[in-house]
Amino acid sequence: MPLISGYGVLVSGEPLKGHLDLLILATLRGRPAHGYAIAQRLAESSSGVFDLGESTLYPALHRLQRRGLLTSNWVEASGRQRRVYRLTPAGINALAGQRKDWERFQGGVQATLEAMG
Amino acid sequence: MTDRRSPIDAYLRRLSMRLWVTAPLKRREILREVEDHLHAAASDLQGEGGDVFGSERRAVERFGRYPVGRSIAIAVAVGILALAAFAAWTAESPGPSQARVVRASISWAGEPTNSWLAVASVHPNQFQIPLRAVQAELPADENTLKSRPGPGYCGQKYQVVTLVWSDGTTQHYPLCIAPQSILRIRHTLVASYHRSAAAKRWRPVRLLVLRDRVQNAERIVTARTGRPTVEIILRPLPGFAGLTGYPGYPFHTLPRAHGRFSDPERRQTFDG
Repeated sequence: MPLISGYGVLVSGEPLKGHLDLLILATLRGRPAHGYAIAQRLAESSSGVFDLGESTLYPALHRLQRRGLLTSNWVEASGRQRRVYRLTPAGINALAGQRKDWERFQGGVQATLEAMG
Repeated sequence: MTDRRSPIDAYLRRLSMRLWVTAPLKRREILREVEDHLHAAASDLQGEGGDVFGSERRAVERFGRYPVGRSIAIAVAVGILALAAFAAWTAESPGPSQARVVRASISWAGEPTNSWLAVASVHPNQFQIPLRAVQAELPADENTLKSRPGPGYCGQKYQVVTLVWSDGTTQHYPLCIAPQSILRIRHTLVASYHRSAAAKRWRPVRLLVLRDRVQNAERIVTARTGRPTVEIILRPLPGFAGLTGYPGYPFHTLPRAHGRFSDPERRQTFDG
């Protein structure tokens, strides 16, 4: 359910979770990143519209990795171990497919709204 | 007094407890990843001018509750239910909760020679039921197989099944089985015998035997195998509790009266 804040409409909960895989894949395209950086990029790229509980990101990342769409490795950063995720070739293909689906869906919704005035 | 322990450490401790059913390697990975995330977030917040404690607390709040997987939640719920059921069961069973039969034997009185049970026994008055075999077979000789005992006939009087349990207790079960009827004893049924939690008594012992002349059977059921098999269920009698097994078995002390076992529970069935 959208939350109204002083800065506009925040999208959170189920509507966002339904597109989380696509958003994560898009965020990682060409730019491997660790979990915190992915959360930062999502917040910045959406201009703060997405109110994503940062912890919910990790199960999605692990799920995408199990499906073979992401791969990860541990690196040393600031004296801590950091897990960096990157897209696999299958992830790149999945991103392309999901993006097409989204654009088709978005176009359909847009066309419907315009037709209805 | 305010708790000034690191909010990140406290969060990680709580998360570690919630992930207790997760595989150790997976749990360590999750904790390491979350720790990195929280410290990175706290560092950014400190860079914006926050103090260490406040930044860590804000980072934890922003991170939110780590979603433990559904399978883990189910595993936790099942585990809790199992523990609750076990606790309830043990609360109702003050005695040894589980015991297994370590020795089973059939003892009998009468003439050792020509005893049909002695044919299958090393000892003249006792047959040890092997517990390792799938079933024990007690062969009957030609004469006993031909005999057709009447309703009041008991070929081997004062037969007693003795079970020795792993907790040291011994139980004796009076038995009167017509000679040709006890050809097979399924010890597995005996060995799977448990204590009755509610009544705090031994549950009935079941012996699977052939033929149908079992005079003190608690219950006779139709064989499941299609063979002429019956199942007898014996209950321990208080009068036998103090007896020890053979050798030196005081058969004359067996509680009986005029050919009957004295226990009222046994009279009707023993009478035939």
